[in-house]
Amino acid sequence: MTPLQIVFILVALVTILSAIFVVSFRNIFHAALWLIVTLMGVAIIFALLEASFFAAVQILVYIGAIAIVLIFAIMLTRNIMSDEEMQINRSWGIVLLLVLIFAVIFISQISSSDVINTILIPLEFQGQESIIAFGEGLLDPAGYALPFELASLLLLGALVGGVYVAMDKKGGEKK
Amino acid sequence: MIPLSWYLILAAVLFSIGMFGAISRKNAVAVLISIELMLNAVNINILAFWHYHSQLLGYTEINGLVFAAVVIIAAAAEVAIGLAIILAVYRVRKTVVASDINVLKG
Repeated sequence: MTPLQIVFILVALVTILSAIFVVSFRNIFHAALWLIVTLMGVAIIFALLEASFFAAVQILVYIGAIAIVLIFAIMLTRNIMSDEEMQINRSWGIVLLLVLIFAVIFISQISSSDVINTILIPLEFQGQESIIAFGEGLLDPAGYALPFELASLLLLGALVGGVYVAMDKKGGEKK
Repeated sequence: MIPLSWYLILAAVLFSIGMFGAISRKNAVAVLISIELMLNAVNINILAFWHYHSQLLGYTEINGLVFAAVVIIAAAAEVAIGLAIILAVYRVRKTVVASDINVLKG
């Protein structure tokens, strides 16, 4: 057990535990707060994978934007479902069984393969070489320039579409 | 130091938890939260394989990084549109329970 492995196990346990809280808590506001803990754990996992750029993006985009927008939506629709009401539907037993079967098949397949048990050693990059290569690849016409521009169009479309769909077209009734 | 399979098992567990939530939660916002969990598990998988491939090649493989970035972009767009739809439906139907939103049912 190297120190890195101990860190990984601790972070993985916290992440999985808080993910279970996210799907099982009745109070959806608390579930959203536990989601932030899960996202933070995933950011640490990204850092352990030496994808430092994605660890930062995870914190900025997921925790800074997505989690906050989710909390806004929860607060705007809050008093509709009381916390005492059952938050999961009637067939949750079957769903749990199916998901458990799925997870068991997945994990047994993963642990039975040889290739996949390779030890990940630290990469031999100097400084921020991987981020520079990533940026050049995104803007390279022979690389990913087209997906990069399409992503900006998608985000613009999502922005305009989100405002249009959520806009109150009748001017809003007074409450 | 850490075996590749550990990351994959963590991602599989996280994906399964997210799938349970996405199928069984009643609240539409909670369904979106569970989908975020699933997308995060996918990203862990992509970046673990990116690290593995870069280590085999000896230089930075950018394909995996671009895939991970596309997943994050798709997640951001999905949340913006999904929450706008939920708020629009809430304004008309006064509910956020996914199974009560059945206007299109014949």
